[in-house]
Amino acid sequence: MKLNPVPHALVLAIGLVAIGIDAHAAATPAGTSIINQATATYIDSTLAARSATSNTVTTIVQQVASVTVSAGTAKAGSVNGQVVYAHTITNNGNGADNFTLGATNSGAFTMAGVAFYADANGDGIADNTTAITTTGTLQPGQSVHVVAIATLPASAANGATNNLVVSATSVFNAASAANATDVTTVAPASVMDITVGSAGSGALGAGAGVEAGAVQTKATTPGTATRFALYLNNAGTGTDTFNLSASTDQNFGSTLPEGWTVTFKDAGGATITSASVAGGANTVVYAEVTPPAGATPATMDLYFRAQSPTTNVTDRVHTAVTVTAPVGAELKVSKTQALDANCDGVADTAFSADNITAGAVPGACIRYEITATNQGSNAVGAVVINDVTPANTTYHLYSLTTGAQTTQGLVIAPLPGLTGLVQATVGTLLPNGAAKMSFGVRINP
Amino acid sequence: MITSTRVQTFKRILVILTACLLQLSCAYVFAADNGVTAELHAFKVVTGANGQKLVATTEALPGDTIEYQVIYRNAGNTAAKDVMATLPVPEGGMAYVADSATPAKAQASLDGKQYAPVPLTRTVVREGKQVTETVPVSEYRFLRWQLGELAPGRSATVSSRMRLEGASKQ
Repeated sequence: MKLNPVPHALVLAIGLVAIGIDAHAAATPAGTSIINQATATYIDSTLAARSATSNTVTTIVQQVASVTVSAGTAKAGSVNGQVVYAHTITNNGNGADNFTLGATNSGAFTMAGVAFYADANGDGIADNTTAITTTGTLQPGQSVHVVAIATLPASAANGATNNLVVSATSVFNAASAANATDVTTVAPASVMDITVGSAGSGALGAGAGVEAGAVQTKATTPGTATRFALYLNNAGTGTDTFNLSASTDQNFGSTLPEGWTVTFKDAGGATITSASVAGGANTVVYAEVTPPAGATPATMDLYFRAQSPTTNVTDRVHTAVTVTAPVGAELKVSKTQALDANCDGVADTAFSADNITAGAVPGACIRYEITATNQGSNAVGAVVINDVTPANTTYHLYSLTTGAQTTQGLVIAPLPGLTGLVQATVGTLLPNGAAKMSFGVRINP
Repeated sequence: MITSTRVQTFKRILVILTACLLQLSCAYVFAADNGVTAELHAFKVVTGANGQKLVATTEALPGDTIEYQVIYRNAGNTAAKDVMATLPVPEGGMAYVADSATPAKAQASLDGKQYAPVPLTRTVVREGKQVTETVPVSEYRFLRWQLGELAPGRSATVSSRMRLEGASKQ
């Protein structure tokens, strides 16, 4: 047997219609006849049961108009931008009626080009570009969705508000009308705030402008990239595109130091130079910072900036990168010298890596300082500082306190007047820890 | 010409006689079957500056209150006993207005079969307990009055107000 689906569809349709009427039909439909007839029963003189029936009285229900407009909403808009307000107009009268749509607006500025458009599916988006002025005929209980679209004037000041009163007036009875008020507050089209690591008001670097101190410091080794997650928060109303840049100068007056690279990437890992951020949304971008292979271990302030070339809306965020020496190259050793002309074991000048160009005559003395520094991020152990007396000199000892010294560990040196190894057994140096060995030699007479 | 005048006069008399006969026979049938007659009127209750007044109407707006008045008259020659007057609450959005039945000692029914003195109550089971609750007056479908005996030539009037449900009147 072949099943015919039509009856099922009909049953469903009838059910829907019935629900629709039950849900909305508040008042008796106009034109309904209300018929009444009174009766009486009695016993007559013959004890027979009798009845009497009155004339019928008919009352015709007249049409009454009633309309509601769904409540207004509050939105932010930007100058020259549009705001769209969705409303539902419902015929609460008891007869078919048509409703004239109207809008008046007041406040700190006046909306331009206010118009209504059909929005059959109620998604808050106009169905087409044809403006409407009435709802069309609505049966009792029937609703229609419309949107009111208005344009903010160029002169509207940020923070100013406008009240748009949307009204629907019965064509059957113009005295029956309803309205709702939509409030528009002018907001900048885009507002940028860069935060690090996460978005939102509690995130690192939240708030306008550049921070006095680094909100996040990342450690890396020379030649190895480190990555900052930058959240571009656009608190404005419109989408804007922001160019991304990095600088060691908070005013972005200089380029990056030689050899340093900063590459911006989107969430998908593609290299980018700008990012588009919708109003009221945020976008994450990653800044990959790579110090050059020969970078000196140090901490460097690094600023990131997002700036719109069209609106000039901008924000900066303050971060820092600490370059640490790579494993196996943590120790930095430096040697400085100073003249000790009278060989009293005390340097005549400040120690320097520069050449001594005067006074280093035969018989004069030279003081050396050798410093070993742990530039890595971990402790290094069994550190030994070695040096030898240079050619044409002999180890010089004026007094025990001015002989070979070390700030950490034990030191060995040749006998005074001889040549050879000067060695400090330092042991363990913590990160950023340093040990200094010092000694003197006498230029052979 | 005299003849034609006579014929016309005769015809007129015949018409009048026939009409009288018809009326008599109608009155006879009416009187025989219905010693008691019922006459129903509908009025709109209009509230003005000077209080309420009743205006005969054939129209109503949602929210209007209609007062139905029924005059029962015994047109017969003998007394009518155990007169029970029934006034329906008509379909189409009408609802009985509480305490508007006149005489006040009225009965009401939801189905036209079982009547009880107003206000109607019913027993329902709620949370395992039997409770007696008042039936909303909007559920009343019939009103009834026990008028007792109606002597020949006498009449009795009953009335009640009904509200047309819907949007409040603007």
